[in-house]
Amino acid sequence: MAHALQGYALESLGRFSPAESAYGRAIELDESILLPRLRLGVLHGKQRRFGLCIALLEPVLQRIKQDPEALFYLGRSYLETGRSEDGIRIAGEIQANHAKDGRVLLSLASLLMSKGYWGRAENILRLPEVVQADSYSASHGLGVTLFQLGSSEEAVRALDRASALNPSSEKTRMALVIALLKMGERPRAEAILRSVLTLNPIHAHACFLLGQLLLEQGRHEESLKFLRKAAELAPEKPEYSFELVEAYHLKGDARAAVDHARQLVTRFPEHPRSYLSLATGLKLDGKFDRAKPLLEQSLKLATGFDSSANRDLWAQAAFHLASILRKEGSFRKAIELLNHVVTERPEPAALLELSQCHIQSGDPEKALPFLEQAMSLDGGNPEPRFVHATALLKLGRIEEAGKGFELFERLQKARRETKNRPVIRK
Amino acid sequence: MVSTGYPTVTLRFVFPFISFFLASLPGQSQPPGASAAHFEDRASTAGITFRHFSGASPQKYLVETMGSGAALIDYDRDGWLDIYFVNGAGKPGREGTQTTRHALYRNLGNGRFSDVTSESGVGGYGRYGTGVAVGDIDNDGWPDLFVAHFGPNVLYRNLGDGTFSDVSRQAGVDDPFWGQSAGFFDLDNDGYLDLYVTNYLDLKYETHPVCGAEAPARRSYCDPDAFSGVADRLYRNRGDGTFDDISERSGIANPEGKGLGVVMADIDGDGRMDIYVANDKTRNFLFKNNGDLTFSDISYFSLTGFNAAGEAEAGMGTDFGDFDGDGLLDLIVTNYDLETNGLYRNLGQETFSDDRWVQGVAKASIRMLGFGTGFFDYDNDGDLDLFVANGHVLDDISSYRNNISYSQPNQLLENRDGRFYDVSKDAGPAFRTTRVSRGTAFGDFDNDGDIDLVVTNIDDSPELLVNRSNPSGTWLSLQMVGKTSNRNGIGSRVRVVAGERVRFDQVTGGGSYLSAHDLRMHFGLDRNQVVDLIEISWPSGVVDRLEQIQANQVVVVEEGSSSPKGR
Repeated sequence: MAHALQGYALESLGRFSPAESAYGRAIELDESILLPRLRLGVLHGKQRRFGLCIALLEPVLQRIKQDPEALFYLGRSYLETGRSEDGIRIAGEIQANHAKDGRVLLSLASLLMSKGYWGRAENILRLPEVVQADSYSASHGLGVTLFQLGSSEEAVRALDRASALNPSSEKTRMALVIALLKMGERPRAEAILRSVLTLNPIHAHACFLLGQLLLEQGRHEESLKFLRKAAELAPEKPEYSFELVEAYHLKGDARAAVDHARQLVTRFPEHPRSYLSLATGLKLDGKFDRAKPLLEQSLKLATGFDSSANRDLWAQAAFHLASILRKEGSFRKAIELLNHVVTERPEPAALLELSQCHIQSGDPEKALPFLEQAMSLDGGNPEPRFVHATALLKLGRIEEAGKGFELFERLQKARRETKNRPVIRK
Repeated sequence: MVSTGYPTVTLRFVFPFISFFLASLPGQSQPPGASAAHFEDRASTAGITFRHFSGASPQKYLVETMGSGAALIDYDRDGWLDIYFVNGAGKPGREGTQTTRHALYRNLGNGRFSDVTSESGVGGYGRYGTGVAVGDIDNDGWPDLFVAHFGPNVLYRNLGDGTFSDVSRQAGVDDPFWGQSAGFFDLDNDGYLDLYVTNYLDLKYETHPVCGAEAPARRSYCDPDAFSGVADRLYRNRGDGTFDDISERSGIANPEGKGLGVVMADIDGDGRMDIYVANDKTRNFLFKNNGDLTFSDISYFSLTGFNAAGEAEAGMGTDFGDFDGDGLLDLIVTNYDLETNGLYRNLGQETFSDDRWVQGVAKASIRMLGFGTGFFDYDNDGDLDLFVANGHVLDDISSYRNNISYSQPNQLLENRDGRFYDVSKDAGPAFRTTRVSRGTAFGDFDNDGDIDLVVTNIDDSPELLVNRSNPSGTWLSLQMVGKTSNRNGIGSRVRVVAGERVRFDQVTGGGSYLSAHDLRMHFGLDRNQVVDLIEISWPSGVVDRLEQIQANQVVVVEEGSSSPKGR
């Protein structure tokens, strides 16, 4: 017992390692004493030694039900080691045995949120005990949880409450921004991002999001300012730099885009988007010969990793490469590439590119099904309709082509009428 | 956010073929070899002091940035091409406006030109001029001048004594809208030249919108979408000095058009001249001549109204020419930067294929905004090359597009086995300097057997680009003299056989941008010293055949004579 008390004293002083040794010695001397086992199990859980935590606490579950901390770490250890059912069972035990302890429930909700049990977390976060214990954390957690559950409006209300309770919280403001962006409330999101940057001018992610937001609105100069800053503040984050290249592209500053993308190839040589960014800039400049090997490299790198992001990059690189090949007259190679792209990703742009390849290689018949698919996916777009009519014309189906051109003209007119008149041509 | 031209979504994906594919990609295209091209700008040494005046104002009226053209016209019939420059002007009432004038320069035949504007009466003082067309409207042998304006257009009749008379009003061609390119052609083969005039936008100084920002220093030139279009005009020559406006009843009047360039030729070999109009940001028109004074717009079915993706582009200049030697006239259209210039290959049966990428024209024009253009055989090797005059329309473009400038270099694209290569960097200093170019007129103004160029530039001196290329071939020039047909032989179709080489061409109307060309036909003959056969099908239906003609000469061919006169 002396070792157990010694360990407890050491733990209270924050000397965890000697405390663990003392608890260990106590257990060796008498396994039946609960205190050293319970405390050592908790310390293992805190140190993310989840297996050891389970080994110590699982056999004495019935005896630790009144200790919320031990239950919490046992539950967490279950969840972290993939024993979800056991983890959820323990969460239930905590709720049942400590229903009045708002702080314990808040910790439990946080654990459940971190593991994606949003529905269970929401139930806990709505409990009055939780709100009473820490109304800011409860509102923030509820806001994040509701956003994840798809209730953006409710999420914004909860996060607004949280922000009112703790106006200096950057984390809550950033969560609010995400929810507002999801709802399309860009002006408010922009205002909040600017307020975050007033509080903390070196908040890299706020710079990044504000840059993105401005870019979407065509405010290129302002966007570049924030994206440049984000990339400077967090040079290790490739996505910030990629977005900066994209901003240069959209501004029409191909030279800056290419210059910056060139640096990314050196800084992130294993990232397929580095090569894709550079190749896109070169392609826009008509430098196909230089863009092609970069697109090939992007394809190779994206092929090596089976993640959705890399598949997406692969498709983009393949699309751009195929478009160059078509322009060079290498229709067969372009068709091979695009067939794979549209099989997995039947989007109008790829379908149209493939159709153009078939038409230009003298086989308009093969273009028809892809064009029909493109038209069904994007019925308001006049382009597939025009190309479809072109294919029909080349097949000698004159009347059908004529009807297609008429429809194309109507769609084009409708598009012109809905489009704002540009004041300056750029 | 990734918007590299392709929308992003997550997808399930497999990569079954990548290794095979990457291993089998085609290699890089062969770069072109050395070019014989060389042009020298002789404007200043030739005594050309003309300088274009756009009237650029803080209000940024769009007319200021569209330029004015030039014409090659042997107005005194001495065998040497003279040059007419069209000038802009300021807004009426603005200081200095009344001193602006167009200019006629007489070719002295010794490499120098003399300003004869005052005595000839074609100065058009204070009028804002744009395009110009040349044709002998009364078949008296003296070429007449039509000058399009921002305001009433002007027809000058050549009196044959070195002077011209303004006959616009009595002729009935003084349309008050904003005319741009124009061209003479014989639409009904009655032997008299008719006239097509493109109209651009419904623009008035009083109601001109403010584009860019309100502050004068931050204004910018408006997009053409900010204005309504104005229907083009088609005038039928009655043969008595007057013209009949048949725009409406002929079917060419379409107010959706925003016409900038026009060219006429017989695209389908039916003996009647058709019309192609390059419109700015609206569909280009291809008007097929029905033979009964009406036209049908076949721009959809011919696939020449849009690019291959169905997008209406910013058409500026245009020309017909048989670049692939298949006997069918193909089409070039210059467009806005990033749109690329369009090359439409004539497949026969009134259909065309947009082959701009495969033939190398698009790649060369991505960063350029093209205006004046034309097919011509600069090196006399027997195939048609291309010239494009470039220059942006926005004088402030570089403030928001770092890689695109207001002044741009002009381009010479050499035809090598049907594919075009940009050989501008080898073509002399004139192709390495940048200007804001607009009109281009083609013709052999030094009579040395190759085609020279006159290029107009905004608020700048024009360029007289004398062709000093190392010629790889011999040549033949034909000066047509119509008898039953119109005097200039416009619309004549000519087949030239020299050795293995067969060339086909037509005397077209209009072409390029705001400009008029040498009406003589020019054929590069590769290395052939003798032309075996020249076959001329006149608009009247008369066919002349000339055999065993020596190369390297100008041949005057009178309709129905079949016996050429060498010169």
